[in-house]
Amino acid sequence: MSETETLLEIKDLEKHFSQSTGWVGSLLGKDKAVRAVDGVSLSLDRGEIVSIVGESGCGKTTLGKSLLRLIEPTAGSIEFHGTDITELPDDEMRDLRKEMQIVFQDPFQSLNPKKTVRQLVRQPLEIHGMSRTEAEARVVDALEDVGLSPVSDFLDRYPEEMSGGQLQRVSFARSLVLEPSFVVADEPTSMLDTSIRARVLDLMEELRNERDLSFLVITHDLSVARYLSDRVGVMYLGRLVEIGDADEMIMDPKHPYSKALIESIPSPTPYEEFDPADIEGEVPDPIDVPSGCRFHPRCPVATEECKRIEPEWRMVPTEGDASRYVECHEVDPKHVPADPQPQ
Amino acid sequence: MTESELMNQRSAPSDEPILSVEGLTTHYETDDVDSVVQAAENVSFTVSRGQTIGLVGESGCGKSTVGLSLLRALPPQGSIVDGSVYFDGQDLTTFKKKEIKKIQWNRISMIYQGAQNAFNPVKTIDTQIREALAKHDVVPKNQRRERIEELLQKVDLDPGVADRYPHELSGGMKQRAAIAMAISCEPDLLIADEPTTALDVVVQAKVLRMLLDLQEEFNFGMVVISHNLAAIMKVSDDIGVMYAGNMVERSSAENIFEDPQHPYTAKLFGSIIDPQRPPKQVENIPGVPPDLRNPPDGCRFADRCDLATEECSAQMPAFEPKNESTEHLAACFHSEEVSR
Ligand SMILES: Nc1ncnc2c1ncn2[C@@H]1O[C@H](COP(=O)(O)OP(=O)(O)OP(=O)(O)O)[C@@H](O)[C@H]1O
Ligand SMILES: Nc1ncnc2c1ncn2[C@@H]1O[C@H](COP(=O)(O)OP(=O)(O)OP(=O)(O)O)[C@@H](O)[C@H]1O
Ligand SMILES: [Mg+2]
Ligand SMILES: [Mg+2]
Repeated sequence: MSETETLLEIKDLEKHFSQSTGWVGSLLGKDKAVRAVDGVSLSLDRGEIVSIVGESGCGKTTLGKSLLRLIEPTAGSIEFHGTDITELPDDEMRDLRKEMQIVFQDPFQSLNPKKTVRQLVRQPLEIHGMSRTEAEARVVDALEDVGLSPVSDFLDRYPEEMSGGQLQRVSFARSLVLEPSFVVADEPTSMLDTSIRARVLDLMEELRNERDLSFLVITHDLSVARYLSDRVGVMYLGRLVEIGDADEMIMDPKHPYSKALIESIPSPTPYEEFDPADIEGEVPDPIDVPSGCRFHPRCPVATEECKRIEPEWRMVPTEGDASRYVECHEVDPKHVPADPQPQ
Repeated sequence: MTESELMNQRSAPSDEPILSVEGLTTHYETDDVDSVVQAAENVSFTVSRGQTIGLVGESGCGKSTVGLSLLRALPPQGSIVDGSVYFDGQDLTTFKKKEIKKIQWNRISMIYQGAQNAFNPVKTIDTQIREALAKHDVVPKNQRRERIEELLQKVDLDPGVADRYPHELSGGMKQRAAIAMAISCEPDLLIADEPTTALDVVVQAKVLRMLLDLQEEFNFGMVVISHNLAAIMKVSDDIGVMYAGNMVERSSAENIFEDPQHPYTAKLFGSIIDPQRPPKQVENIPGVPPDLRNPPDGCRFADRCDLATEECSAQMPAFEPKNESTEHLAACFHSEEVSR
């Protein structure tokens, strides 16, 4: 690969929703903030594939949508090709969407039920002014690429005439027709069998190699994260708590939450029972974020310090070669200041 | 048993399976009056009380069609054209759709694929679960809130989620709320179509373990549909493998994993990625499944199968016992040659 070039640079991105407390509450100014994304910084190179994993409800989809400004971030900056897009006027943002696409998590809800597959996949091309005939050819290629062939079987179908995994692939095809340079893929293979999944993963790899396409993949499937991506980032309660090389992250996670997550991957056999890591304590609530390190109430190695002081985002040493960043007081002993426990 | 008995009463536990599907055949009409989509063809399986069958197979092979047929919840174009679905001894295919609605939640409940669709966007989660509880009057009115909070906690959600609207929840939170609703009235049969696609591995394991515990306590049957092979092997007693509308193999999870008798099963399980030891390249199955509007006469997998011979395209192999065991059925002329 040639020299790396930064495509996307996110700094301190926040998205807070206001949680209504009814109209009386609103009048009294009591509405609370749901801190769905609470200060995420991340950069992505051209042609890089980064996966984001983490607890259900930790803010992954919100992060993905905020990046494309499908929902407006509350704070922070998003530089795309060196330009901060958070302040772009709507029309310029619309043009830029040609470059930035998203595959939504739920294909059942994100596709217009009144349009046929042909119309759905052609629509983005038409919006950006491509002629019908040219568009038609692209539509066919894109559907072919995601394994919906013979394409003629599918073109005139409506969403309700398709299975879950077929819809998921229509969504994916739709995000690719404009030949974007960046795609947020929110659970793009969650409804696919292992064989078609392999095919879609190969397609992503190919697009990266041939067109330098970059992906931010949101997934609960850690085998996909490892197989497909260059780096894996772990989110917890609105923050990125660890990021590093994909192989090294799965083999040697550092943050206690990452460890618990990776320990809980079920073996691909019928034998062992489910054996999730014990993450004790209350289910986290983005309305009421804990003080200090937000994982401390559930963390097996939390100290007094963790309750009071928010950990800094810093690089830590690993056994591997790639750099690793973690947000945890306890990971690197060299950095533990207050009275270290005798081993 | 009369229909009202079916609705209200739980029959005493017996060895009779709670669900027995015999030769189920479901088609969808298309715009073209001369062609139908043969989405499920001659599918048979049984589920005993306290037991789970897992349905797996290629995307578009008819798993959801089977699930929806059981509850007669097919879209208007779909209909059961042949076969029977015996639930607690009664053939549900002879019932009116309206009558089946009456037993939804308390006797049979279903978690739909894309559970997000199960919720009305303008009502809170509390309101919607409460409706199910009220319909069957399973909990006295003044205890319903308590019950709802308890259910949400079972699926690892904060009880406060009760007062939120569906759009304020993440994909996995909605999915869990749908699971909570499906178990709210302690059904005898739970059909779960891709119930955990939006859950991380920790929450997924907790929720599935909770379902298994609940199953032990209340002895209900489960039909689980999933592409997540690691998870489905752990929850299921038996696994049914579908391909292009047919059930091509059925046996215990161990047999299916260790000793597949159908080449499609072997390929499907062969494409698993072990995150601890990912391969350089994952195998996929070249080719595409047949058009279900015009499926071939012989084995529907023949086109893509390394073992196929002339015989395979000429006629459909019988779904028959393998390894001299009625516990292991497959439809393949070349079972002995199948290897993992
Ligand atoms: N429109 C909204 N209004 C209020 N709260 C919201 C809204 N959308 C999301 N949230 C909250 O923000 C948090 C993050 O949600 P998000 O959908 O980003 O999670 P996620 O990581 O994608 O989870 P999953 O893996 O379950 O899909 C959740 O607590 C959710 O309830
Ligand atoms: N209403 C409909 N009209 C016509 N064809 C349909 C309809 N619904 C589903 N189909 C077709 O029937 C076949 C079986 O669909 P089904 O939804 O049962 O598949 P599935 O096994 O659940 O797939 P997935 O794993 O992708 O969800 C598919 O090929 C689908 O395209
Ligand atoms: Mg999400
Ligand atoms: Mg389905």
